[in-house]
Amino acid sequence: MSVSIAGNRSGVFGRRGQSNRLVQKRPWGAIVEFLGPTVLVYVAFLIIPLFTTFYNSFHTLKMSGGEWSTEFVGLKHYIALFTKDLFFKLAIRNSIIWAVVSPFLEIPIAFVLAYVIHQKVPLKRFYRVIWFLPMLLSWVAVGALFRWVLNADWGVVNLVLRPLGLDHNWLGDIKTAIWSLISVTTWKYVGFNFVILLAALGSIPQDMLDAAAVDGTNQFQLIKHVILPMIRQTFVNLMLLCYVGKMRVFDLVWVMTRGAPMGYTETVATYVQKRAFEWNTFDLGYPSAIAVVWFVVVFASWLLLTRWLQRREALEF
Amino acid sequence: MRTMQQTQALFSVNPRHAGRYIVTFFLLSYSGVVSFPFFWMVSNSFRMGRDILLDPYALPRRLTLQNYVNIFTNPTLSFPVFFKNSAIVTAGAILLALVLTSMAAYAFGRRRYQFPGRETLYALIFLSFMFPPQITLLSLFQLLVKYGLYNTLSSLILVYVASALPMNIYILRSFFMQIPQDLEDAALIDGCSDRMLFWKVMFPIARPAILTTVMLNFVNFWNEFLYAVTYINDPKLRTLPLAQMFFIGEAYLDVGMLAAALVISAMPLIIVYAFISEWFIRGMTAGAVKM
Repeated sequence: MSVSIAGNRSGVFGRRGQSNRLVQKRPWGAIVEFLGPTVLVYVAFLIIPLFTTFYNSFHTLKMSGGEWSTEFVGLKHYIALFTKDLFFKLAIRNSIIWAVVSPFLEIPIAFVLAYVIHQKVPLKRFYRVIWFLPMLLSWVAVGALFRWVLNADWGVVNLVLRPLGLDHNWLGDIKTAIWSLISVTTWKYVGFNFVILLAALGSIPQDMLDAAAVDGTNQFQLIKHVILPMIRQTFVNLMLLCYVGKMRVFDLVWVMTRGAPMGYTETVATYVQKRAFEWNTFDLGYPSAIAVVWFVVVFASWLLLTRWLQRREALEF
Repeated sequence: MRTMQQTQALFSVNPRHAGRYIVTFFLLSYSGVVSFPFFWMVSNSFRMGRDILLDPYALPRRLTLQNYVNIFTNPTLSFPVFFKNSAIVTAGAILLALVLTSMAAYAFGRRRYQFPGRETLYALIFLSFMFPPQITLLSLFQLLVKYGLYNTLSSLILVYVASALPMNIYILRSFFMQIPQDLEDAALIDGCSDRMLFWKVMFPIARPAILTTVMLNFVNFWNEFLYAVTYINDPKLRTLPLAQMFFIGEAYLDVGMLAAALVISAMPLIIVYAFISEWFIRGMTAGAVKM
């Protein structure tokens, strides 16, 4: 079919004598028209600021009388960052915990839900809307709601747990604060992962599942040997998306705890914001150095993770 | 006798159905737990603040719309202004992002526009997907102040568009790549210019993927907080998430009114999602899932 069409096409082109014009001449005008605006925005709002941040990280940058005054300080910020900034260490630790743990919470829960819903269960459409609702709320709204839900005195979590003697000051204890916030992000994102996994399950050809059924595989084998390999790429993508997303957590912490208690829920993003706008240093250089370090960490780990996940593809399943 | 049998049939549990009931029971319980904060917020938005403080978990005894009336009419809140700001920024950013990224995705996805370095350019743009926002946040703040764009809604629009580039182009590109070559050739033989080919033929075909990106952008822009809190200082220019944050801190704003404000802010997203969830998921299958 495709061969005959290809043949037709060249015939038509040949007859009209347009073959060369259509195939060989590059439509530069159109390329510039289509790509130009995007490249312009990309350079102006990502590339130039990116290099400016690198530049700023070697300077002290203060605002005085509507003008920026810069002073070169070399590696001073980086040295301070790695030798005496305890808040930075804590922020890095929290952000990494968040990014490493979340994918293993969100995606398995979402897969179980998607798998169950993919079987013929009633109310499918209802679940699909209800579970996606948290995705549609702003982080500020979510933060406000969960400050109430997790309230130590009258929050619903403690109301349920108090008869069991398990009530706790979830947000006030340095041991549980970060885990409370991680469960909130999990609550928000399970629905998103669920919707994508459901779509992926739906894209598995039915005859493949039928063939497995004829061979008499049980549910467990079916999932392990047929379904998981089929939607592996979706899993990998969701993992990476989740990881990158959790490395930039800002809003929830900003609204719910502001890093309290004592920096145990501080993330790198909130720490940068505080150093830039809330500490009395009013220096954009130091937070820029944090941003550069964080950029390198995220970029390097993302590259490693991609490599690792692609390699495992060949070995597993 | 016959009724006895019927009753028995009703209560005797077929093992296959039993499993289904158990599953439905668990799914409904799970839905209840997960959506509790949401419905609690909705329920409280129909109650007066003092009733909520007395018993936070009671259902509304009599529905009152007073909270909704208050947030829209109370002049010190200027809620309608914030709503309008969010609408301007979101609509502007969605439209601009749509025009820019669909054109770019098309040029990245079709063989006709191949040129040396194109894949590198695409990879560079796609990489920005994993940039932590902080790497541009502060220097952009500095540049915006320098060029007098600080505290303007238009700067927010441009920043949002830039943040949406990688995901949009990624989803749309994989869609454009799947469109058969014959269609393009046929249009070109008919004397279509590239511009017409894109806007009259390709853009309409890409509708499922476009709806998906628009929905994603809508959710992200409408709720965006970090850039808004950094680049907007003027109380009159606050978008909804910023306004929500200040509402939480306001002493004179009671809980019922806050709940109403949160519900109203989420309403546009919920309504749109309810209508296009089918399309949204279909577009995801075409683009994001296969990748």
